[in-house]
Amino acid sequence: MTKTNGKDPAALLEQAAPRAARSAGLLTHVVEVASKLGFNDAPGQALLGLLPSVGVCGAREVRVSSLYEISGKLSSSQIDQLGRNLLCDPITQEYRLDLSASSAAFLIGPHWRVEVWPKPQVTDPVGDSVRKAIKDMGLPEPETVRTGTAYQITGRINQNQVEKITAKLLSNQVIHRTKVSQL
Amino acid sequence: MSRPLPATDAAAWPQWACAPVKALQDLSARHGWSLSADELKAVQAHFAALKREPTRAEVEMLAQSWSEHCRHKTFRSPIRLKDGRSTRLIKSLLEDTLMAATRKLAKPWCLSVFKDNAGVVEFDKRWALAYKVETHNHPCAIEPYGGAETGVGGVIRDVLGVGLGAKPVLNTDVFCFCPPDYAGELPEGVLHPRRTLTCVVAGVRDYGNRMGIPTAAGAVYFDEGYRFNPLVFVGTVGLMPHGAVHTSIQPGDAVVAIGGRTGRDGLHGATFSSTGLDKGVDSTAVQIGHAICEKRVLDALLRARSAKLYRALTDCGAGGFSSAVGEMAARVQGKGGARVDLAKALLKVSDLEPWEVWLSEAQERMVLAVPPKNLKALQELMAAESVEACVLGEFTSTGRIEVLHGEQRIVDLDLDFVHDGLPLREQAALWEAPKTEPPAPLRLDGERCAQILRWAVSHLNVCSREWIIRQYDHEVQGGTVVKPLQGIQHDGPGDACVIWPIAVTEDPSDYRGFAVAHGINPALGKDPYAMALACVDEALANLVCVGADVSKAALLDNFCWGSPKDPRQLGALVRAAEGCRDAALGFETPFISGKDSLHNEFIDAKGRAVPIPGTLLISAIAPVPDIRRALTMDMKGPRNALYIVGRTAGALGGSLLAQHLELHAAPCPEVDVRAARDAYRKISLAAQKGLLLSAHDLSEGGLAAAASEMGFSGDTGVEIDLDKLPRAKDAAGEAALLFSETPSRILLEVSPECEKEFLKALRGTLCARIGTTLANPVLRILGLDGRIHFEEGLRDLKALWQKTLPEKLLVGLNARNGGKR
Repeated sequence: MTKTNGKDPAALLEQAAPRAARSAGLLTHVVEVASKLGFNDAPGQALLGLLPSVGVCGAREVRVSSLYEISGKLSSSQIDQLGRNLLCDPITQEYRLDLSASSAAFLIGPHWRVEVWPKPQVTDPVGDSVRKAIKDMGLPEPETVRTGTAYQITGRINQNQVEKITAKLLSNQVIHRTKVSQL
Repeated sequence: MSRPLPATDAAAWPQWACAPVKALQDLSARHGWSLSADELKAVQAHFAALKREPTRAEVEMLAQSWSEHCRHKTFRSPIRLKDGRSTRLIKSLLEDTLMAATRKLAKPWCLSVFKDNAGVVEFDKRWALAYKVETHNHPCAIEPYGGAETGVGGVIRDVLGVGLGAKPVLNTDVFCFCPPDYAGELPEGVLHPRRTLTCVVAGVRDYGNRMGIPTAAGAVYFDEGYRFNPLVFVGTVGLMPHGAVHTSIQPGDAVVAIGGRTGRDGLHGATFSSTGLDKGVDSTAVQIGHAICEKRVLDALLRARSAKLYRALTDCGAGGFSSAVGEMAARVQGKGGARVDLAKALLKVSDLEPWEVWLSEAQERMVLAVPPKNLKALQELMAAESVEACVLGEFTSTGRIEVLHGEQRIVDLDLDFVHDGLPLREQAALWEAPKTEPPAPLRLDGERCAQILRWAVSHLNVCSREWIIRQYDHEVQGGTVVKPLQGIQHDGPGDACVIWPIAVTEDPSDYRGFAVAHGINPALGKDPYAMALACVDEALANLVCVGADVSKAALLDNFCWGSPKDPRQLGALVRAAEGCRDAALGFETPFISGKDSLHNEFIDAKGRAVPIPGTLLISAIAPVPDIRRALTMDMKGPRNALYIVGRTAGALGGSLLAQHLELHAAPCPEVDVRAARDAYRKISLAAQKGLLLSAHDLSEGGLAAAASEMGFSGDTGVEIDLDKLPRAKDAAGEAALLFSETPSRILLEVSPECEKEFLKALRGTLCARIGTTLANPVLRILGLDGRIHFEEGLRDLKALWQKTLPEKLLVGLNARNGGKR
């Protein structure tokens, strides 16, 4: 498990996505999709209900977003197009690129952020489907697409508790890599 | 033979010809082959005779094909059983018990048993039913979501790969877990049961729902004995035309792989599941499912089957290409054989070693035998369905399995050695009958009985499974006639589901359907013979309760046990298998398929093995002649007569009451097979004549729980006079009558107009009218003295019954204010 307390989003991204693809001269972008404020975030609420089972009671809110790490010869505007037209439901969800804090769904004040990614050798069927879908849209097919999940937890909790939540509820160390950060 | 192996240092890969067994055992342990000393010696001797060294791929292939998972060594090896003072030799457990019973019964409607990927029975003159139930225990312990998904995917492919392929119409799921509110210590690497349960359910849900197959039958059993090793049984039923049941492969047919690509996922699954679990696990043992890919494979295959483009197929399960091609090679006409070039396989990643390609258990792959003249048409069809296909090689008649990787020859083995070279060793088994005490009379007053009832309906092994069931799509394909949740509010616990396979037969004037049910009761584990009889009985009773024709029921076995190297574990396993045989013969219901998962044990920090409770799952399938006459378990209205079939006995072993009162030495109940068979057939006929309103079998919690469930599902009251209950002499006192879990008992609701004809239909069986239904939703029990023993509100009981699981899983509490629905 990687642990970082740094607050620089760009540095976070570097560590969240250390991929072989980058060394091959390909661009890597992360699209993050979350439900808009005011819309039900069912996975987040379910997780909030489970926190007491690992002895964590101070959390106020959990928000869950999907992460798509896309490596390939796609321009920023093409990635933006993917976020808008493929990965996000424009009625209930919002998206952002590479941790930019542009929209309301992502401006949630101080929180803990846990990212969970499948290990590189683990099959990622959703990632494969996204890759095919990008090709079907007539865009250059990316080298790889990996999907992950980000959990944003607000409330009175400390790093130990976040790590406990990560290990016991959010990830399985056999197949996942995780990163905990305080933002 | 070209170079045997990439040059490695001598310690890592010794010279087999001169290596001592110890060195080979170290090698086996390091590579996770799970080969015993005998088996390693057999491999060594085989290659010594050939005067050459084995390659890595050859040893890996032998390890996979000789694993417990693929070869069922325990069920095929001779066993010397010490039973009390006598000792007897069983030549092969599988042949002598389950298969012997099927052979003796020789039912003409059994079309393919114990040889293909699934058992096949006749559905009607045109269609056949294929049914398979698998376990996926080890993967689910490590990664519950992926493990459950790939378990479902695998069993669907089993049915897709039986004969020329069957179209799946139903998925089933049965779980054994530790209670989800377990508060004890768990070692590093063992997931908490709450998490295992929710993730397994999510995996079954996502795969089945995405494939468009209803998940409509199942069971869950909770016991702390499963805290290290959860059990996950998944099953699939499919329909195929009679002409697709049997296959033949000709030499010269192409070996074609279709579906998912080959990657490094799932290496060593077969050998991994043939040992106990400890904490260190590598991510290559884990597979992740891809339901959408498998759905495309399914659609493409059914089209190719209709066009008769291939002669045979099988799925890539444990052992990957090595076992799929190896098994098919043995089925080729003549001596059999196959030659393949793995360089032609489509890969997910480019850096796979040839032996990894040969053994990878990457998901969603099938292997077909295609006549060369059809190759072009097949490839076009696959491309049209977006399924990748590649020609790996051809089937031959050389009697050998030859695997190349480009120029490099990595496997050249005699098929006979692969399939029959496994040395079988006599195993020792020990069985000691448990000590029991005869039942003592129980005198508990009405208030105490009511309290036990409230405890029983909210018990984890009785309570509502709605939270699980509602996540599954059980309606897709539009043929789920009797649903898993029944009653006026669609929330009562059904005994079995009834499926009308209209999506396959496409004939709306044909009302024939089929029912699927399960029997599982590890609480009877101290007497595995009695447990086996009770499980078969329960599965058949469940079928009867939905109006199925049990005279044409077929059974599937799934044994999950600890290590067979422990003579006591093996002894219990033998007793359970013998119970299955006697039940099959007694009920005249053949076993058509089965599977065993042994080595379900956890090696703790001190090196001690902690086995699971020996667990037998019986799955049963039977036709329903007319789905319009199918039954549900909810009471249909007031002023109807309530009948019970079967005698209540005092043996409380394994019952909830025994657990509550801590009667650990209570004997396990026995099954009067002949009487039960007779009664079930008569009830079946009565149901088909439309004489019954509802039926429910008596299982956990006995009469009191069953009557409560029927009542609250129909929001109809029940009055029962315990004095009218047919009972054995040892069943004394109200508590025993209310909570005894004697098998072979069914509660039936009959309308007053039909009573006469009903009694005529059941003539000759032990059957008594014990009460009536009431408009007021209460359960009123009249004691042996004729006075009201207790009265409980059924709506309160239902609330208790419903809130247990959500409370223990901590789900839906925020939204529902304490789980109140």
